[in-house]
Amino acid sequence: MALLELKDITKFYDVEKGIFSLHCSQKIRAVEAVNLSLAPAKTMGLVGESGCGKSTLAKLIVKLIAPASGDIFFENKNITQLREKEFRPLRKKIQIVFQDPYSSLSPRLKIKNIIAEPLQAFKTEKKKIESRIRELMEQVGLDKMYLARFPHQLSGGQRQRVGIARALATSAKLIVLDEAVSSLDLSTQAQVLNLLINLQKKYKLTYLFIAHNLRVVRFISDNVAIMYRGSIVEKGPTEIVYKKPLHPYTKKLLASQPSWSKRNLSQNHMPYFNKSRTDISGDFSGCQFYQHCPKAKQRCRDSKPAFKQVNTEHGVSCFYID
Amino acid sequence: MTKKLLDIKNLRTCFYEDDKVIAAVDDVSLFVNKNSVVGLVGESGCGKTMTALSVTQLLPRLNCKITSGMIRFNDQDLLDLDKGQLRSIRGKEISYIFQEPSTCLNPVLTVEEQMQEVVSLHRQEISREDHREFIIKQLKDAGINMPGDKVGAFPHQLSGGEKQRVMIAMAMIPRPKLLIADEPTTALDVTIQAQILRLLQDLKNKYGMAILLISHDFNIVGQLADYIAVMYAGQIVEFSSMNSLMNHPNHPYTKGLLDCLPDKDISSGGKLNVIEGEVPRADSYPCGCRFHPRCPYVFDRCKKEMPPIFCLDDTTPEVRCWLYSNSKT
Repeated sequence: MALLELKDITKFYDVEKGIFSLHCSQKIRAVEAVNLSLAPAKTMGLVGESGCGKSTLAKLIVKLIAPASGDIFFENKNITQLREKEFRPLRKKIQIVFQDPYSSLSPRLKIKNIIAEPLQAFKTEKKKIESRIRELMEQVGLDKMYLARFPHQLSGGQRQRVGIARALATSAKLIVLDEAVSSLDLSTQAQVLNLLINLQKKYKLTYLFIAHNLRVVRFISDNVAIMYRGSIVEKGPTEIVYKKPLHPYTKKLLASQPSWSKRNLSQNHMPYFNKSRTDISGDFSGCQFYQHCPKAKQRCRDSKPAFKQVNTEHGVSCFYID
Repeated sequence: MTKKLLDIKNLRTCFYEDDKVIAAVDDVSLFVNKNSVVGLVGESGCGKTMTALSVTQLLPRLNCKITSGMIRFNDQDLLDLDKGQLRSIRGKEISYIFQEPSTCLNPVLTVEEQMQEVVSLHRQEISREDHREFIIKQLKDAGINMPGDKVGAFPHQLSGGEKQRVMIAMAMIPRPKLLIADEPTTALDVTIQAQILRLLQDLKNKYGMAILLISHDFNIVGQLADYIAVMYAGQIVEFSSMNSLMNHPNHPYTKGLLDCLPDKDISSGGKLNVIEGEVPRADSYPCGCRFHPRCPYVFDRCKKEMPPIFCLDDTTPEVRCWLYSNSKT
């Protein structure tokens, strides 16, 4: 049984053209017909390049923004249309950690107040708050002396630990990690990744791990979903997707990751630039990857491939998979 | 004639803050051979960028100064030159590309206008009428699709990858002998990053230039570099050829960093090796070896004395660690 399920989630953003042309706004599909289900106590990795809709999806899940259509189920309960008041008790269980620990912590609050905030919001008794904060600091591996400090006095890794402690404060079940380790240095990143794994084992947490670093995602995720221009083009168990990618975009992505031990990019197969097809018009309805796909045919231009399961776990949206 | 194009010796660059002196770059020595790539790797704040800026002396003017050392470029010491002489080298023989292409291009000038500035400054043999053609050829060299249409574009009309290509095209105009690339792909997506790395490789071979490639990512540096310098807390802790570093890292910090890479065939749920602790801040470096509080091999001497650079072989690897104290300094 899935902890969280997204069914056909779509989100548009309005883009207004010009200052005075309020009426001729254009809609941009940020997320389109996304289906995703998160198994409890597992990690789902979400990969894609910038602007593909990863963060929009994260915000939709924690209900910071509302979808244009589709349904979100949390523990089998449809939470899409819930009003803020009805959703509040569930908000405890769904938390988010943002990419930039510099801007997601209030610079004017001490660390203890930052972690106390969610507890106060959910009306925890005053006496319990103090002990809970100490417990949380220990869980994320921060010394108690940092409690009285301000965020600017902490290093990047420590700040991200505070962000994680804050997400854990209300005993969350699902934590959305939106590029949570991307801004950290290598040695700190490894520490935070290990911390996340420990916490998951201990508290049976479910993670949606959003990142653009393919290696980190491979390391931490049980399942992985590859996103391209608002749609999920492939998903499946991490090792299977990494070893036998089916979608041309996944293949390209994996071939592009540089490796320390092997000069894999200087070979001839990487083109200088994306040779893109230009035979498409504004209301193009074909496959999103059509322009850049080496295997694209007429059919890809005319219609959009549906997402189909190759087997029970592994699915892909492409007409021509070998 | 030496093979060394750039030779930095014992460079020390300091910030002056109130009454404090903070050495952002402390006793750094490295060299770049002709037509080779040297990677400079380290975590943020370790002094990579300050080292590169010291070479061209583009340091913040108010509170920052090179206090000692030598920077030889093509057999002349850059620190001895006056401003005019330096200007004839900077931007002409040493070109620079930065991390964030969108902040380096002038938003109110078209690609052609900003490139023309460089052409008329550094390629005076090209006549005014031929500028456009030359610029288009440069853009094409840098892998820009349909360069004829792009010369008239403003930076905001280009994608991130295209902006970085324009930066590279611009840096290549004077045919530099040395290109300093400071995190050239950090702001880019992984597919674009691969293309840019390949482009740099090809340009290097085509024009026979050397590259000083600065990055925090071993995976990127590993794609191009012939030599690698690993920096920690303002110092180079290991300088070694790519092969030797890959097969046999010497300094405990290098070993630790390479172990942190989530790279090997790891099953999820496994654990990464970590370097305990945090990178020290520039105003509070520990005494003795700067890495000693985090080092698993630490012993008494590390806490008291700063290790000098030990040479393990004739020239490289060079390692700043007491573990190798029976090698020559």
